[in-house]
Amino acid sequence: MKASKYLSIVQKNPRYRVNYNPIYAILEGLYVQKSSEELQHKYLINEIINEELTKDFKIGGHPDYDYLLNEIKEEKDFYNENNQVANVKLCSLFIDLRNFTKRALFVQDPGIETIQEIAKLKQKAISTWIKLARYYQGHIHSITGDGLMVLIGGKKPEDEDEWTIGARAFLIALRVLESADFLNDELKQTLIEKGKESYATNSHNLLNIKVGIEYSPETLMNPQGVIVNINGEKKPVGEVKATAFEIDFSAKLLGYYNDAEKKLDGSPKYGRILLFGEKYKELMDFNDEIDVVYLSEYSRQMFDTTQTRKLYYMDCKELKYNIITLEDVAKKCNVYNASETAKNVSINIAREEKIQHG
Amino acid sequence: MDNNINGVKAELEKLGFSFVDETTAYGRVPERGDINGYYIHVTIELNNFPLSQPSITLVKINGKDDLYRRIPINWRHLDEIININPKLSVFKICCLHNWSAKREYNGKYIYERIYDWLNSNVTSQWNPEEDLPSFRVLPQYTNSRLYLSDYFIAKLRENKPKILYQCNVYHEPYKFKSGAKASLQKQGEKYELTDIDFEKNFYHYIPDMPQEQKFEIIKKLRLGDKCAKSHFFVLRLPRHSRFKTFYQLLTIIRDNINIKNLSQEMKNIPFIVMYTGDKGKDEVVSFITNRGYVDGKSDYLVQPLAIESFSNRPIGVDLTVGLLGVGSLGSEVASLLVKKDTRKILLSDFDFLRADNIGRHVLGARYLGNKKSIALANELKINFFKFNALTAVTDEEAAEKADILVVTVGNNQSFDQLAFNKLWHYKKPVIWAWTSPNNILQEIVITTPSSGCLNCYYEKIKTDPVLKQIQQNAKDEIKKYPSEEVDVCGNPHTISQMERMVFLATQIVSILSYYSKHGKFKFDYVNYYWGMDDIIPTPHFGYLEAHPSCFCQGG
Repeated sequence: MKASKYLSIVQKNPRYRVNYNPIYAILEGLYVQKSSEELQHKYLINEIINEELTKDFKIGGHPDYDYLLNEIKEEKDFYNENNQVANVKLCSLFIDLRNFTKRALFVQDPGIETIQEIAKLKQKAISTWIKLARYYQGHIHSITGDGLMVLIGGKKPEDEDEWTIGARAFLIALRVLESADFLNDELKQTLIEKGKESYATNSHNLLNIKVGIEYSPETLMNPQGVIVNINGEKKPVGEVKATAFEIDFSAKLLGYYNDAEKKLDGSPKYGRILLFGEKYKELMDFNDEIDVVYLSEYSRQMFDTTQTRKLYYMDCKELKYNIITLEDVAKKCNVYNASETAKNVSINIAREEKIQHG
Repeated sequence: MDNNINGVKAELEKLGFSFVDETTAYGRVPERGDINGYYIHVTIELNNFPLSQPSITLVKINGKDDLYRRIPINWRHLDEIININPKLSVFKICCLHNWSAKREYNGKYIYERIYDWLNSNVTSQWNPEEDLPSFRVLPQYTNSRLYLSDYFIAKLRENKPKILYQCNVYHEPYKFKSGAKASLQKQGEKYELTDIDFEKNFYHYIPDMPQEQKFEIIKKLRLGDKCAKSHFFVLRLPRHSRFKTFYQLLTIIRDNINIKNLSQEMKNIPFIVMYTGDKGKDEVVSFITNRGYVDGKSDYLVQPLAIESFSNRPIGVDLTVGLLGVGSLGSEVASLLVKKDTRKILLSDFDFLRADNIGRHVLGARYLGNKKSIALANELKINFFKFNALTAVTDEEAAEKADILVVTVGNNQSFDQLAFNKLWHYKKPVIWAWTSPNNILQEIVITTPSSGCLNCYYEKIKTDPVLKQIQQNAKDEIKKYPSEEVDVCGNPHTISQMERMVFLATQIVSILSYYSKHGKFKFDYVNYYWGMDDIIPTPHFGYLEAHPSCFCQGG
């Protein structure tokens, strides 16, 4: 069993206890409403997301380490170890739309989708993932071709516990996989409205999302870029990057998606596979309720040495929509709460005096 | 209305029916020919048509009116209306399910439903929509009731078929048609069946089951000390014994079971009979017959007894719930938890039931001066047969043994003692609930090791704009109305709106039920604001973080 202080994080940050799936708040908005409970939950979640997207939000770098770039005055400063931070514990999460590039090939022939519709679809996916990542306090490190790289971890109170970093990455991954269902429902509806029902039932015409996670316990946060001269003043232009094998490995994992998909039973197969590396597996210590499947080995030779890393996957079909809170994740892992209990303190009750009875 | 009934009459006449009086049609189904060799004659009574469902009586099968022995044993959806002599039973056809006054429910529709009913019976092919659960053919309409338990039925199932077992059954002393009353010394079966007045009197039959506490209690509550006793014969029929009418059942018993040598002192013979019902499931019927039937010397006479059984419902809230404070709100929570079939309820309250509590508490006047927790546990145990589910305990015992606590103690000081002393390091969830005068603002706060503490909630009220506004609105509304009523001694008592108190109790139980199912909560706090004349409260819920200004965070 792994000791974790996740409860003290949950205690201070109730978003990790909100018992309502944020994907509904993001993709259903406030329009589809089944009950007043749902409506209040959607307001609450949207409030959190809106705050995240206005408060110092940026894409690229990492807000906790972006100050490193400001320390750069000259080219040599990029190499100065004092301008770098080592041993940062991060989870790297890589999300990618599978086989999305090819969609634009068919704009003219057979012309079912327009280029605007394809762009709209991608924008919807990317913006949804950004909102989800921010809801769980992940940082958007970069927007890639058809995907996103998210870093979870840093210097904030919520980053203090390494298992919690992994659990937050897991929650983002599940929500991202759920987004495939919503986006495909919308895509199917569009095809039906265009009178192309037969295409709506063929999974090759639908969206699929690949998600990979790896844990990087010894990341180097270092500024990268160049010095530019603006009106005689030298200024660094670039961003702070996370450097570690594990950081980039989350993207490499996605190359094994097809191997994992072949092993899935039932359909649809989209939005189900979460790929991860051995460091993440070790960090999370999933219990027997979760079927972690060994997939392959990543092996490379250099300097007369061979290095190998194991790859795993899990089928998230039964986990999606059921794992909502951080405590839900804890129930699926060999983890116990090691948060410090409240200390004896001098009591000062904040209740306004009023008659209350029961 | 007249137009409706005239239209229906004309349609039925067109289908070969004739009217024997203003509202009763008599005719044949099918109109011509037969279905698999069967045709029937029926009457259709159209009293209060179309608001009342037409009553359809089976009169003849294939031209013969001895239905009591002729109805095939596999026919279904028939009710038998019995009047002591099963040869004179009337059989009602149940084929107009979910009737309501609609234009399309006309004469042709009624005829077609009867036709379909006959067709389904003779082919044993039922349309699922028409094969609705219905009373079995055996009669249910009687003033006399026999109470059975799952335990009794299970024991009966273990009995050997065709063997007569006996059990004592308590009931009210019989009253006779002559106006006389039976002696308590004499067994109930020693009176002539035809002398006992079953029409004007209600009899409750309770088997002697010392191992079942609930039967002892209903015997005491329902019959008191002055009750009579009858020996009932208990019989399980073999699975192949099939029958449809009461007459057929009595014939099976008389021809197959050894009942000839019963004591001559027995003038009526009460039975409890288990048999295999229509759908292959065990069913039980109870009745009292005449002596002449047993001896084969007279017509069968029979008084049916309706059977009622106590359901053994599954646990609804699978938790041990500790209730600290069982006053106005807590007693309602306890009462609902019992009805929700909660696994275990621990009640703690040091207070005694006072005169001013009457009408503001689940307990009534007969518990005046009793300790609330003990009296409530006893009251609910007895009323709902929850003998092992309720225990009166101390706060400490409740805290130790419960999976979750509900605190509804009466005042701020008691809350503080629990929140910041006794339960300060408590590791299990606690639901805190209270209400303002006139229940204008009702608040529930749930604290767990992963949430803020109760004081964090008080801090949040000061900073959260919505909570702040709700508190202000409540304060303004409370000010407008008297908050207390003063008794003759000059003691003030906070005014409650009891319907709102019950509402708050339902919300607490809903939270417990959700927690029992999912192991988590939907929110950490919820407020219900009611304007004085509001019928629907405005809810607001949220999550409770450890507040940086709270002393639990060193603030």
